Amino acid sequence: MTAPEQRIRSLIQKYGVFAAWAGTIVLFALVEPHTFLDRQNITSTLSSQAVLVLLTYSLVVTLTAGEYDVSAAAVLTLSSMVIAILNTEDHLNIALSVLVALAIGVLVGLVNGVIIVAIGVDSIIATLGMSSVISGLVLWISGGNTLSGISGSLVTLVVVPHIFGLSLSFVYVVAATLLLWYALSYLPVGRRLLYVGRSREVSRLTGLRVGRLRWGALVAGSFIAAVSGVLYAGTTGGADPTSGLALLLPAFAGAFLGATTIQPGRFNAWGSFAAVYFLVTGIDGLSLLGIQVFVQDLFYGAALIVAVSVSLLARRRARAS
Amino acid sequence: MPAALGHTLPPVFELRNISKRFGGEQALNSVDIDVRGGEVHGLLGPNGSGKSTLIKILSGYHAAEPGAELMIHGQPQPLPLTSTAFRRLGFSFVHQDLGLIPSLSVLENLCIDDITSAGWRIHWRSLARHARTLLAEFGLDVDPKATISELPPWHRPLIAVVRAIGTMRAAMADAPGRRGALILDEPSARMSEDTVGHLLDVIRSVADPGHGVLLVSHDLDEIFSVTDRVTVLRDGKVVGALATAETSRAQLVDLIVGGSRRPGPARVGPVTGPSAAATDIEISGLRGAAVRDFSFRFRPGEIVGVTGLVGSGFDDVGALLFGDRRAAAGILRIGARQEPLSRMTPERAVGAGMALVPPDRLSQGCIPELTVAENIAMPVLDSFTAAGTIRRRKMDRQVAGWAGQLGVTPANPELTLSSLSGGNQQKVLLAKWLQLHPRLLIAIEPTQGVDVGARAEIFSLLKDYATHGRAILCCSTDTDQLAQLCDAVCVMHAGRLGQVLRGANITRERIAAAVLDPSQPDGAEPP
Repeated sequence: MTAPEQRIRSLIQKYGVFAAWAGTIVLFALVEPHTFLDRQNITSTLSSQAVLVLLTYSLVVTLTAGEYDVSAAAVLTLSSMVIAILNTEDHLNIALSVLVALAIGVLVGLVNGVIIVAIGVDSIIATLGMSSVISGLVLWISGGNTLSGISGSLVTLVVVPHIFGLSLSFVYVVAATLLLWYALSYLPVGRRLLYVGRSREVSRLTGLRVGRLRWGALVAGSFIAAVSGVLYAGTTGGADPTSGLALLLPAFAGAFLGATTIQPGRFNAWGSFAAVYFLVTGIDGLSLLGIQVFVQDLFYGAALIVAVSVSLLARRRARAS
Repeated sequence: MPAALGHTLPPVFELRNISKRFGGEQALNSVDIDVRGGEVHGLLGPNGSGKSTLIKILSGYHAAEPGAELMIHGQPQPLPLTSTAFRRLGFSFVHQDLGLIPSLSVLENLCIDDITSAGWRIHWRSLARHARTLLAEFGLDVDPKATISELPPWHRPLIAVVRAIGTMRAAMADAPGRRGALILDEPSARMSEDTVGHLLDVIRSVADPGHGVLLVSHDLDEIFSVTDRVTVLRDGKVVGALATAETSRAQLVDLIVGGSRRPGPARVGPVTGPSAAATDIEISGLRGAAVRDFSFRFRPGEIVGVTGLVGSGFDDVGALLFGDRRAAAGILRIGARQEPLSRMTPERAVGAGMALVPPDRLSQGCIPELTVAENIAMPVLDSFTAAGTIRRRKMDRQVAGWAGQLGVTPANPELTLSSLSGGNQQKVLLAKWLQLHPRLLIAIEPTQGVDVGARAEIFSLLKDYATHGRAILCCSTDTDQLAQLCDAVCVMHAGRLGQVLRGANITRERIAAAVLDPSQPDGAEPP
């Protein structure tokens, strides 16, 4: 392969998902110019997905450290439900309710750490169990009911349009992306998570505190999932005992698709950002065309499989050349 | 003791004119060997002499060059034979890795052939009965339901050998009176002296009724206690085929090692630096894993080799010092600092000024899918931070400088490590550690899988590093490497430090001889 050819190929790989996102926008803008380019549609698409983006970032953190945390979506649900119950039924101050929800997120991460790091259970099994335990807890404390009527001040902070019709939640998304990008690229701890995720053995023999780093990643991931629960509560003004779980697969799709771009082969912040919005834009466009709800499942599932396959094939080709 | 009856029986199998080339290298050169009925035949030779290649040709894994012949019971057989054809002829193998599945039970492992070839239904009860009889026959007091991984490690070679005997017998069930062959590739490598006797009894008892056993071994005690004849390979050729009873230890060592054991040219001794006292390093009373007792005091700037047979604990010394494995006892003194080794962890070891170049570069040393720069930066992230943030430019520049200094090619730190050659990967691994200026660099087989040119470069890098008054401990079985690199070579036997060779005694031949034969002082200093 010639050098320019190689450079083009690596450019395509680096910005592929951004390009695909742009392509989707152009495509639907041509097909459905009125509804798709409607300002309301654009702003709501960008803002409404803050919950999914944050949940994806939670997975980016744990996946970087080499752990699968499938309990993240359940933490999201639990966090929003705790806020809803404390705030609406127990009339607790909204700020305190949020703090309690975040603390519960940290607690779940700590418990996951005990099971995964201290006892040594495989993370996917441990968190699968944890996910079910939490879902049960949520149904128990909520009585299976959807709650609404969360304090307006939280809702204002999340959904009310502020800048160019964009709500603050989109601002949070950008801030979170910057923070995650910075942490993974420029903080020693972010680099160490990468090392541990790639090889626990090498990391251990280099003197890194592997157990502590994995534990930390699980706690951080759970914390971010709890934050996404706060955004959920703010976005909907309430909590639903099951809806969070539907976000798990899209979040994994976003994280893995994101890992094929910007820094191919790494779970990374901007790649995940682009991936989530690419997927959401596609679904938005298709639903405007009048395609049924099942398209979501189809789209997210296919994206996850394609993303993982593509990155595997790319790695295999890199090894062969 | 060897049975007299065996010598009268004709060969079970004969290999004639076996040659094998790998690329330009002649691994085997017209080798002849025959194993008679009723005998245990030892196959000996230094590392790389072609023993494993011969076994692999016999088992059908490699194809021999044209002209090779295999006779079984006097009948010529086409080579290569498939493993099923071998099995039908009553051949049974135990390879170095033993081929047991640790997570399954003794019964499932013993009867793996019956289970995998069972028709509609597995007759567990009869299999269990069969397993119990087999175990009892060879004096193995093991519960067939126990999981292999729960057993003491020295049981495993026994179970593998007993299984091979079972397979051999099953093949001959329909042809009574036929004799089979058992081929054992270093089955005792991981067994201690006090447990190996049982295995040798089992081996002997297989040969006595008339079957043939080919036993690959490095251990001369074992060879002398169980074999009737030995064939010695060196550089792919048979250099000796002898009756064990008529051979002396020294004769055998000379055959294996080759040439004379004259002293080599005197080496330039370690350079004594001004920091001599500060880098003074002493290991005392190290015990753990296969190591029973190891004490050694480094002279400043010394490269010390540790070697021995597989299972002698030579490779554990490095792992124990670095805390990769937990020691039972022992103290490491680095300068004024005393480190109890029973509490050592890799993290502490790095803090105490140690570094480890592990034997398996790609799974223990560095991360193949990360870049050269990222691999080198691994242990030094904190030294490039300002206000908690990594200063990427400074770090990248420094890391690239290190890679350049060690001659890593291509000189692009952004390449993924896996795209580099083995030798360059190893230099990256050295760069990762040498930038920390460790006081004690532990290198386990540091030039494994490295080409000749890079090997020489790595030797000179290590020597250069030692001349700055730093200590290097090199655990290796590569006598050529030890001879070229080391100022002192510690030879371990059964977990204890035997001879320490220094100066003119450090030659390939003398190191190899000391490894094979602890009883030969050969001018070495007492430890």
